[in-house]
Amino acid sequence: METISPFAVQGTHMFTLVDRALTGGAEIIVDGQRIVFRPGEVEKVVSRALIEWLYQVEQQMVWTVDGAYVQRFAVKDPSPDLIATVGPEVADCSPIELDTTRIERSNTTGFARSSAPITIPVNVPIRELRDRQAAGSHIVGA
Amino acid sequence: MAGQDTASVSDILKRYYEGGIRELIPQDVKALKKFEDRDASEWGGDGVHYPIRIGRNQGVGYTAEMGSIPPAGRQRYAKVEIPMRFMHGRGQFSTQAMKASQGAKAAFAPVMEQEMDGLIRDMSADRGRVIFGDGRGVLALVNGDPGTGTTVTVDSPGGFAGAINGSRFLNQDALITFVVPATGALVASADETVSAVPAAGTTFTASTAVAAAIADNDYVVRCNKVAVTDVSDTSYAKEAMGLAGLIDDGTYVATLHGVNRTTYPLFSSTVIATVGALSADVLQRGIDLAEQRGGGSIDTIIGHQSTRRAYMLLMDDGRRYMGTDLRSPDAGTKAAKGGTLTFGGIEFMTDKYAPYGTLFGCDTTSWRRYVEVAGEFMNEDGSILQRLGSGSTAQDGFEFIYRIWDNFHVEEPNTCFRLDGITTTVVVAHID
Repeated sequence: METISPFAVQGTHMFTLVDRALTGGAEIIVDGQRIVFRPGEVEKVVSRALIEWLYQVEQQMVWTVDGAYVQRFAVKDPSPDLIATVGPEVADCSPIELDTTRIERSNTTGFARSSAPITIPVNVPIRELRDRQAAGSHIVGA
Repeated sequence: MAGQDTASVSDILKRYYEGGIRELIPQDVKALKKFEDRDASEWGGDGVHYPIRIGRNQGVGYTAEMGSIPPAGRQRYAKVEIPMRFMHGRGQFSTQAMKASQGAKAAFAPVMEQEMDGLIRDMSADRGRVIFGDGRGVLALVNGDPGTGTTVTVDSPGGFAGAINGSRFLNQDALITFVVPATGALVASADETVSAVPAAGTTFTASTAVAAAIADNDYVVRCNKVAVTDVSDTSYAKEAMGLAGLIDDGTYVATLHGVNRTTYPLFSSTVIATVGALSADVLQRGIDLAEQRGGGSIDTIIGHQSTRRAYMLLMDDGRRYMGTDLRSPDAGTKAAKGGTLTFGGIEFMTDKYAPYGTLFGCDTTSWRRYVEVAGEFMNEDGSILQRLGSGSTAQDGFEFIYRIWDNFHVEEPNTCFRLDGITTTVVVAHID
């Protein structure tokens, strides 16, 4: 028996999903299916079920250089019913610029390590160690 | 005249055999045991059904004196339906092999015992993979059109996106076939036996030239018969539900055990996608969201060893050595001797079958394993060993079939969380 995902079914409830980053090169995974936007591919016709799901989860949320945390994908000419279901932001196809400097793509303002990496030298001569201690260093080799 | 040496007396020298068979295949299925160690929940009829409450009565509000009372509301419910999953394993041996291997003088181990016990262990090992899956039984994805050669390039081991070690779950002698993801249909005439799995982890070698119809991103799944024509004769979409589907937001399983996660988001777990560098903050965020959304109390964090290294790396900058240790410095942690690391006291468990770059935050109090057959040899006719063939096809040998019928479930997926896309350094190692 074949099992067809409702996210893959072609039917009347189809909409055009737009990559607001205008770059393509992204992959949406839903129900184990991969909806691939090849590099340069910025539009793809998908099912309404996929859009409803996409706007419930964080999978394709991205940071922009403006500091906004938004859905990467929007829908071209969504129906009023779809807007009512998932929210008005679904119709916002305005271009965005991804902030690729973020360590995480999730909703944090970024994660900074508490301190810079420490290099611990090995085989330091005792005399040098004493010199360091005399200088008031608390951590040998720091 | 030449004197005697060991070569010239080799005909009279005996060979000394030490001990029994050394087990080189590790048998460690820790995440599976998390389920199996729990009391088995009973299963019967056409499956387990139970209701879940997914919405409050909103007919409440403060009122004015003699004012209107809110309209009647109602509780909202959905129905969970857990199907049974059937796992079978089969082995056979000739009577000659059985008799020749009886007794310690004749063989390191009797063939019958080795084959029958080995099958149970091997099925358990496969379940170690299954427990991390999403029930589809995807071993890997085809990476690019393989044409009609015998080498198939694969990625996304276990169905999880990733370019590294795609052949991680493919093993020599495994009978596999290919499924079209969008339709769940079988690729025609495409079943193959895996003849080799090169160490680079990016390809496997099929026993014959593969079918031309195989395409990029097709699923590689276990196949249950040679010359298969029906997808129902494969493991596709028949495996027990694993953590990727149970602790999920619809990325892998949109409808879990009859409950649509888009319609009922409460049946979803928190999934933080594309985490990147692991941080204490993102771990705590997952824990907090599990508590807020489901009242969850995370008791175990499960991930691959490479993800544990990312966790250890997170603390590297902050680690200091005690003065007494400087004479005998030790850069390791207790993980080196198999000890358990923790995050805020929560056990950090590793499992070699876990997907790369993923952590499961688990509140195991609502984990269930529904069991119809915990594990038994087929024996309804009083004979575990069945003769091979009959009449003109009769052979002097026997076969046996072992079965495990169960399924896994998490009653409250919103008490758990998952982190995807954690940056890790993966060492390509084959899973036997």
